[in-house]
Amino acid sequence: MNHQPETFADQVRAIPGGEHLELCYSCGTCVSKCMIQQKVEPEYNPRRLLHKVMIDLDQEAFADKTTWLCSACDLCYPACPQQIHISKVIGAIKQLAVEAGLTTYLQTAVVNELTCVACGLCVEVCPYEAITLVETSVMFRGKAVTVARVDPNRCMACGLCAASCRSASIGLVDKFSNEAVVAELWDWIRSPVVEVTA
Amino acid sequence: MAGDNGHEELRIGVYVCHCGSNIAGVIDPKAVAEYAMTLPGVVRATDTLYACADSGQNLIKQEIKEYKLNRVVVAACSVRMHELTFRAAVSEAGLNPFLMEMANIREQCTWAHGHDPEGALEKAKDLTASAVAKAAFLTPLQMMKVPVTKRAMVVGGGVAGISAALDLGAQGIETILVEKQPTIGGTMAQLNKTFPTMDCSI
Amino acid sequence: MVDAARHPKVDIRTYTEVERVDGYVGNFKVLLREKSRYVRADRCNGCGECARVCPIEVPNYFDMNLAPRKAAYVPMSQAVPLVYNIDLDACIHCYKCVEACGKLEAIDFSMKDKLVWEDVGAIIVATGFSHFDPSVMPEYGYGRYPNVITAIEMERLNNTAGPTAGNVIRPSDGTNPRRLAIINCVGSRDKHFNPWCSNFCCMYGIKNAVLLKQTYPDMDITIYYMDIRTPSKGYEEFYDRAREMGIRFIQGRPSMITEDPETRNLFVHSEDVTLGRVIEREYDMVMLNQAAVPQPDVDTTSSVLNVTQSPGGWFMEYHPKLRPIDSPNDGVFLAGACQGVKDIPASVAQGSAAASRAGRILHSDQWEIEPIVAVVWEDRCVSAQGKKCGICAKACPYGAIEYEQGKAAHVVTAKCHGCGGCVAECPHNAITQMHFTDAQILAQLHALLAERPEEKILAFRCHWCSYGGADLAGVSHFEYSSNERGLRVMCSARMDADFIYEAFRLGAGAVLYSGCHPQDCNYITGQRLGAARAERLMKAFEKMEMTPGRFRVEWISAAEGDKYARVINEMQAVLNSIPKEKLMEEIERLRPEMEKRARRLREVPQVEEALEYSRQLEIAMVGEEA
Repeated sequence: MNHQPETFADQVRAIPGGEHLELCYSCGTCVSKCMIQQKVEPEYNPRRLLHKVMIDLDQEAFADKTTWLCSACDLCYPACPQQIHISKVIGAIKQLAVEAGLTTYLQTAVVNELTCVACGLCVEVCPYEAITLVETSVMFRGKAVTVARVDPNRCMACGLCAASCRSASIGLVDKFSNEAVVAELWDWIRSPVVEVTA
Repeated sequence: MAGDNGHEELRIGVYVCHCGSNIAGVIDPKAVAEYAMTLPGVVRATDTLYACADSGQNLIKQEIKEYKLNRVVVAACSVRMHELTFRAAVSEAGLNPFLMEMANIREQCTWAHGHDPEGALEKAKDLTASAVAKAAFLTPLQMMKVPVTKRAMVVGGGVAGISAALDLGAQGIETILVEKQPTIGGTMAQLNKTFPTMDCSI
Repeated sequence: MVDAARHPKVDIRTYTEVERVDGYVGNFKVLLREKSRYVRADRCNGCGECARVCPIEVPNYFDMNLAPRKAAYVPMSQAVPLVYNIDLDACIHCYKCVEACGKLEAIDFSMKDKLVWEDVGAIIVATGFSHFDPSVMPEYGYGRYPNVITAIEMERLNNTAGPTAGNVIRPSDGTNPRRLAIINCVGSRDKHFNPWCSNFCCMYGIKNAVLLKQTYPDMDITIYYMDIRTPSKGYEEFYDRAREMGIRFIQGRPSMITEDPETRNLFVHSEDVTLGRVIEREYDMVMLNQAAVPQPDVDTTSSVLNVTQSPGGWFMEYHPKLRPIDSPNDGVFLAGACQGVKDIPASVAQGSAAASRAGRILHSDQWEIEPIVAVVWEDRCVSAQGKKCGICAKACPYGAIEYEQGKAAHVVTAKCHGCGGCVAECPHNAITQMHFTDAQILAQLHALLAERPEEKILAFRCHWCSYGGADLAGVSHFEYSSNERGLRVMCSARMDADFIYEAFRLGAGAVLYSGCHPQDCNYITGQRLGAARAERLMKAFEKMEMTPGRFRVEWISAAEGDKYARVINEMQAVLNSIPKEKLMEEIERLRPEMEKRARRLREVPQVEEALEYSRQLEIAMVGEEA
């Protein structure tokens, strides 16, 4: 049927969710709807990412922060006049990036395997299905020890796992570690009360 | 067998159009014509570059006389496109226009099966055979003539309706311009000046 | 407008609606309802005294309800004809107007709606379009923020004859806006609402910007756009002029408008695509260029005037390129935006074109119509033998069949439109349709199923819609299975159950029964006849335990090429899913039943000959063993 070599755009289109790629006519509605663009990363731009795919700039698309940052909140989806499910297209790009051996540049959740009891709570709450329970090579009473493991390519560092873990065995690092968050909370509690007038 | 007196011998002519490359780019019209030649009642089958062009129509007209054809099948495009053309052509050659049947091997065959030339050829043959089969049982018909009331009605008094009514009026045709609102003018009457000349809309 | 009023040959009937259309090309009978205005048009001189004294004020639709009018009113001062109306819904019957009118005695509260029949030879449909209501898009705040207005409201504000005498003011506080944003494509090019481009909004937005800039040189005007479309003569130059005047253009579709509750100023939130970042700008007023949409009563209009619709609700032309003015209904023509969004020059041109197309008919003494009509074989009609029947007369959408017990049914040829419904319905095969006789259709059917019928998808299509849909699939190069074999009749009403049984008797893999959508039928109710029959067939096949999907019923318009291709491909998928032996087994199992049901067809005149011919044809096609 089609004898042309498969382009990068074809590869994205072939992944479920990626098929609507071509419909984008760059109106920018998604960009101005996006919270990540406005609050987190000014370089984030789904419209431009889709365009990069359309003209087969695969390496640029993989290097684009947008590929890794989309949290699939889907604020843009109902706003898109072409009804493109943008997060799914981005998911398709990310899948190809991972297949190409790339990993996310984001800080992701980290498991302390020494304290993790593999209760599976974090697996249940993770909205990105990034956590699985895996057996380690460590043996205890003749059985392999099971712990939670985070797939860095799926984790969006939302912190839900950290908030739900009962043994504080999973969490984010640096600014968003449990200690940092608690410290910030204390700062806030100890800060002088501000009178609010209606 | 079939025919107006029921005993006339069938003499069907089949014309398979290339339509430039629209048909011939996918299937071989010659193959369809050769195939048609084997069908009962067909006495002449050939291909033609553009059946609807003067040359194609002349070929049909000429061969109706030459082969004493009493039915014509044109395997070409949609009846919505050229049925009237070919009816007129056969009628100029003295054949009743309703003794012409078309097989749609362009819109409904080569254009829809561009990636499947084998299937398209099969289908084109079948569609042509089907048209030949129908042609075998066609009967001559006369167009019905109806009188014409020389008045017109325009429904909607916006800019298009007004324009139509004025033109009909200028042709001397009594025209009723119907508008559901209390005034004609439609949307345009609500506008200020209009582009690109910026003249007043009323 | 005034030219039309003055033209001696043009008879303007305002406040009038078309109730019914009977007849056919050259001979239409149209029933008009002249709604009562309670003012006698022959006496009213348009002086306006009645309105002056009328104490009631209601919003004027003509001014987009931005200004009031009286209960005795004309929508605008230049109304044509200049005849006042009394809005009885608002009137309190104080009769001050009657007094004011005085000796003219034009006001008459006893007036009733008048029904008039008119004979015409041709009809031009020019019912126009309507405006999309942007309040269904909450992100733009129309209806919530007073300073967000629509383009047509701006037209009225910026019009010397409008509610503010041309003074453009903010609805919230009456001040002149200094910063104005114009947003294009509101509700158009948006799959949530209307996928089409509304054609004139780009130019319309630019026009308003230029006009406002001329009146208010200090006004800061920004147009938000996705693409600027200026394809007609002089349009691009006009766009240039707007840019030269300092009107700003931002490429980017705003995602949200917010309001400062104190100042009532608006913040437009969008990406500036050129900069690649989100910008938020403050404006005093926002104008939404709302989409053009079909008239809200388009379904009624299309069924009354018997014109079909394209997707979205625009009226459908006979052929998009070659016959853009003709409707599929002979003698009915389309003009203006009712056929698809167009601007003023295009509407005027299409109006003239429609007049010229109609003129072809109206300047002829006689018009030829196709003789594809029904004919009764009187010797076969059971009514002639004194039996009670009349099924054909009931089936006819046009009342063209006269039936009286004891006499053979009689088709009034001039009334018959040739759908073939009576032919298929007649239980005694006593009616035939010229050019679509049973023998002809049967011969076609046999030819199409001569070779490997179990692989074939036999598709019955009506001439007007599904045949057109199949054409469009081809024109658009939507690929579908080449196992499809099409058979055209005029209407799904003609698709005799016997044909379907015969197709399955011959071993057809699958059969498609397709026609128009119910509201689109070219023969008023022909499709309903076909649909009811299809439903009976479906039930019968279910009882016979035929694999679901081998018989399929679909209503496909001439604009739905994609649907046609999809349906055929789905049917092919059904065939692919049945193992060959199982299919053959089922065909054999059902053959005796199908044979029994299709047997009556053999009594029809000429059918035996058709079958004999088909045998020869099959031998020619597949060889002796068939």
